[in-house]
Amino acid sequence: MLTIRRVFGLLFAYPVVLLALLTAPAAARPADIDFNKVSGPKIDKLCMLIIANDDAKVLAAEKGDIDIISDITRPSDIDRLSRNPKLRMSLARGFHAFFLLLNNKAEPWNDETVRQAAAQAIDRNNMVRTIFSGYCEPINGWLPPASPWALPDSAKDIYDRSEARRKLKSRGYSWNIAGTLVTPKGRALEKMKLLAPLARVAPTTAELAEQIADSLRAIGFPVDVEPMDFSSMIAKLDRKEYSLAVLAWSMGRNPDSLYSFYHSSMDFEGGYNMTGTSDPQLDAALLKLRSAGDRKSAEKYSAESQRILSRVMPSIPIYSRFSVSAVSRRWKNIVATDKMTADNIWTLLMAEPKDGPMRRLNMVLPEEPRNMNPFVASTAYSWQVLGLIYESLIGTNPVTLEDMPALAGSWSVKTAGSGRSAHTDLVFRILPGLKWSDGSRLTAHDVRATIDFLRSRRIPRFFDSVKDVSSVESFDDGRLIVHMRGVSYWYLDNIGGLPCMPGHVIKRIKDWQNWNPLDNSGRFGPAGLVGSGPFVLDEYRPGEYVMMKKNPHFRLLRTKAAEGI
Amino acid sequence: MRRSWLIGRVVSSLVVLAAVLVFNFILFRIMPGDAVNTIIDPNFSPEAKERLRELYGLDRPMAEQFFIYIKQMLTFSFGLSFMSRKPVWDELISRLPATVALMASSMALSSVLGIWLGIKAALNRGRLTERIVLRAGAVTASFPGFFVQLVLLMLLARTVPLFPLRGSVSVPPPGGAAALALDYVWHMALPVLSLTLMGFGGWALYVRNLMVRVLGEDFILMARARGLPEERVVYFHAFRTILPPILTILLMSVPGLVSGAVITETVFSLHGVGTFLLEAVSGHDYPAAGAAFYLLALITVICNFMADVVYGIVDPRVRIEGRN
Amino acid sequence: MIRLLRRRSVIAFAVILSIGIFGPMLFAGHPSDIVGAPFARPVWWNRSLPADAEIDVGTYGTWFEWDKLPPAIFALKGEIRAKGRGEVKVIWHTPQKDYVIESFTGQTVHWVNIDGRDMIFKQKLGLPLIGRSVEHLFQARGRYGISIEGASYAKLKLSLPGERHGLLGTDQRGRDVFTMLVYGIRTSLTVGISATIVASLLGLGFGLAAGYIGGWTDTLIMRAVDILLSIPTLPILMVLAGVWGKGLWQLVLILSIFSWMGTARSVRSLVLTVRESPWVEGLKALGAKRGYILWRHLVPETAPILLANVALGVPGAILAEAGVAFLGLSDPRLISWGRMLHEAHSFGAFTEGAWWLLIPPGIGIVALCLIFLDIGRYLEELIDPRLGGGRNA
Repeated sequence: MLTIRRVFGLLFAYPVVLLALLTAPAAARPADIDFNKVSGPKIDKLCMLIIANDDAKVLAAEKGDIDIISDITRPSDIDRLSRNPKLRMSLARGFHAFFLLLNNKAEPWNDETVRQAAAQAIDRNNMVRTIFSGYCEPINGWLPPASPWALPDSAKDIYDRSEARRKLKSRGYSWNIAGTLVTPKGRALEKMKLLAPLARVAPTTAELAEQIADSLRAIGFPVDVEPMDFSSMIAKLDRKEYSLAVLAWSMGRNPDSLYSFYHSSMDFEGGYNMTGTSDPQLDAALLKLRSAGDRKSAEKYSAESQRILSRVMPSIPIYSRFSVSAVSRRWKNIVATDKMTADNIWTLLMAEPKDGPMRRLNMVLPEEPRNMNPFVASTAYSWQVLGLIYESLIGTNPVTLEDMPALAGSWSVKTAGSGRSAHTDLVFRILPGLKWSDGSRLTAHDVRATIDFLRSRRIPRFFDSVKDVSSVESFDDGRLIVHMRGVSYWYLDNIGGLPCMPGHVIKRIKDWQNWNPLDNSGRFGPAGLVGSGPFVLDEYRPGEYVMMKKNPHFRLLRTKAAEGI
Repeated sequence: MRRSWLIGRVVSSLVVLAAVLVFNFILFRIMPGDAVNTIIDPNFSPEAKERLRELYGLDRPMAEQFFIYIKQMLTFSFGLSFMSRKPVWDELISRLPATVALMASSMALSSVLGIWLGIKAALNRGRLTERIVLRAGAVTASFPGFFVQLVLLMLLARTVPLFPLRGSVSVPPPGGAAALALDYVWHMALPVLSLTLMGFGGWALYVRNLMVRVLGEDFILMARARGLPEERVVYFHAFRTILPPILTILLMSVPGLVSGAVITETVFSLHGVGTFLLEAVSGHDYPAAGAAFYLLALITVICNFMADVVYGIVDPRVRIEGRN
Repeated sequence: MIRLLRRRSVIAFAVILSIGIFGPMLFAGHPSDIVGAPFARPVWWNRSLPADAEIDVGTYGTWFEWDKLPPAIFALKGEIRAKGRGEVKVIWHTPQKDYVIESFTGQTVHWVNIDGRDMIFKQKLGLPLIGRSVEHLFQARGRYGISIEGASYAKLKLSLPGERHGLLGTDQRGRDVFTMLVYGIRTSLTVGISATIVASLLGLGFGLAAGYIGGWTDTLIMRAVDILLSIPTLPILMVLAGVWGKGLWQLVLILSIFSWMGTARSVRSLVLTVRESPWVEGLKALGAKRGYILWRHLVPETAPILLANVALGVPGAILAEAGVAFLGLSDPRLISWGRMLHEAHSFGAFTEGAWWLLIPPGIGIVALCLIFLDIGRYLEELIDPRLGGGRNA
């Protein structure tokens, strides 16, 4: 009797090199650019049109009204735009991931082998084909494939139905006449509900849930899909009143977030451990990961945590969507890597028209940014705008996604003290000669003022980033020393990612909650957003567009001036 | 008699308003989950979420939240929206122009067109005109609004790109008041057209029915017998008689405009009150949704009251027995 | 009565109803089955586009002529047994180029599951990762073929779903639109009729109570009517849908709670008029009990109004369900015309120009509404003959 092995072709991770083939020659080859020597922005005006309707976006791109669309979600749109000779497409792995959550505290999901069997029973490939027409990848890891911290085989397809059956048999499960699984104790499994958020929140989720349910039913799990309001679903997940649930979210680059999701101490109502995971080995590794003192140990424990997660399988990673963007061929110097979509900051710095005079660059915002107060703005879209106005100490290299200098030219992470009083010290060196958009000097004192303000007001959005700061020192020579409580390598990104604001503006903010920077009356604070980023806000017309213009004092503009061009 | 009836109407309006207020409060609070629990972001720890809840006032006891809510509603100071952290009142004001422009113009156009057609139909009983009006009325009442709008969009904005696809203004807006006004009208044309097309049928049917009844009355027969010109009979005597019901219906259709606004604004991507309401409800934005529902209830109650008063002035029996 | 049955609208209703009830039994598959390529046109539209094709591939391969535009999908599935331990290759021959689309070594039995949409496939062939690979696999008219090297036995099926499929094409996932249309009849009719009947019964009950009993009952009920009328329907539906969960009957309940008011008012005013009339007084004088008067005399009086209101209310309920489904608030597992329009709007039918996704469900809703409006108006005219338009009924 032959053992038939089904191999479905998706064996190994997508080679990064082949994906880089996508960036056509007319664009600058990202690997060839020295991002420290970039000078820009070259455009004077940047317009971000607020278009929520997908059809309108695509048609505007075809007409030429928009120069850059990032993150085209519908496969039919991707195919359609790819045929348009006026547009160039690029593909990036995203930070989006879709998981099947299992209630580790309830039967049958309290058995690790059963969870692994379920993971191998799901035909991800079919989902990728039928729902996304191939524009996403099946994943088998808990960090986004684009993250430099992800293990190399985290995009492997582990579908193997016979192996899944074998695993179940090895735990004492059997099947009854109807094909339903029977527990080792002899009871047939009862109907299990798979919670899925409503279509309004995520259009394809209902179909994905159905396909997942189909896959699981095929090996005997009696699963039924139950769509429900997102917030009700989260409430149920919180209280562990569920068997299975599907959830998609955008993940961060760093692996320390795994602690919040899978450490047993985060298993409380309101905590993020919604699966109820409690594995001592995993707990130990995650704790060491979270409090790792330097890069090397962080890498070691990150790899270890991910390996243990593969064994424990508290939730089942399903797929990660690609981000496809379309850029008009009438522009050159578009930077599109396999990890960042075309609408990144480098494109905005370097883009210029292929021919003809300088024009306005048009982009799309899929949703209203609503609030321009950086302390209160919470959506990704407000930050798409604010991220062009404010900078942080450390930036991200678009090719490797590793840290690179932004406001800080260099930095170091050291563990000071020993034993009980061991704590991390972060030392940053702010670049000399920097200016704010109103022309005033940017110094380390401004960054200290920012951090102190965020701490003292306990602003929710930045709460976690600054809560472990014990004190900050700033010097005239540009040094900024942040003393933290406790040891952790991840403090670097927490502090390095904060938006830096001028001290003289912060001083004039009377009420950070009600402050409206667009309000000229100055009731709760000064009017205007003063940052060090490449653009400043020109006009915000709610519902229609956000107009930005070049910041004449931007630090990378100086490079050109310094070179005498 | 008149005074007490009026007071009675006022009191009942207030009772209705109070009931709606309480109902709205309870409705939102019984929905599981709140504005904060849907944040799933490892960089937003449960501690930070608690802090956010604190700022939103969600950690206070329910009774206290209720009193704050009532106070806010009665003083029209609706607080900050959870989602945008901007004053709800400012958000509403910024969205009002689009919705009001849309609804006012479409209501005006559809009612005028409908009334005119209705009268024409009533005067031409049994002939082609009447049949067309009746058919049109029935057909337009059967079309789902968004269907008409989608078809119009596809035909007039995509197949033949005559009109813009979305929004209420071009980017960048053209300079000069005249050009700006023209641009605005061009953008609003399709939404208003679609709403008028769907609305005139109902008006036409209703007015036709009213006119038919009135024209059959004795006093019309008398007026004709006296030899008055037909025009005077129709437009002076008959039309004036049906004016009160028309006014009533006009007033009563105001609250229903909101549902129409929600769908129209979704299809045409307009920045109006309808989408505001939809987003507020799906985002559990209590201040915003509460304010919007409250204002809606207020408008409805006021319109009902005014409709009652109009009817009461015209038909004294109503003051005694109540409006049908 | 016979006249009623002879009306065209009633006949049309009967036809639609029977299709709705018996139609699904005629379909082999379930409407949510994927049967073709996404956004395939109806089979009778634009014949220059290819229809579905399926070709069997044996051990010696296969050759065929292709003289149309490229198909939508290229999929090859089946089993290959290797001849010994050497390399086995599956080659796709086109008039321009040959592509090695699958190769393996060292396995005796290999299951092939290739799809032109897979990224791995596009990478292997050196095709651009964005865009449809079929456009490169089928570049021109001519002779195409598959050959297998190094195999002792092969049984494969080459599926080439085309750009045309079915009576009314397919949706964004590849599901047959005609099947969904027929299944949608059930939802629209069930929701429309049930919601209206429940609403009418509620309205009848409350109207009778308010009109006949009067006093505080009347005030209370009329206040409730005013309150419910002051609450905007659509947002409430959103909120309630979240609390009560999805499902057909929840929707019916919610819709009926917000539509009984009109009937209640009409019934109440009728009862008020009749209550003081001589014959009711006569009944009371004869010693008739309240319940008797209500049940045996007043209810039949209201029957015509009720019937007319039901017929006229059904379109409202159908449109409300369509509206709720259009905004994405209905149960995604329930096939309804409103939901079809929602998916058409959200998934790109508009951009693709897929009119077959927009027009049929829309026309369906319109047709049902017209039918009920016609029936309702006819009933209304029977009650109030002055409204007759001078037509032959």
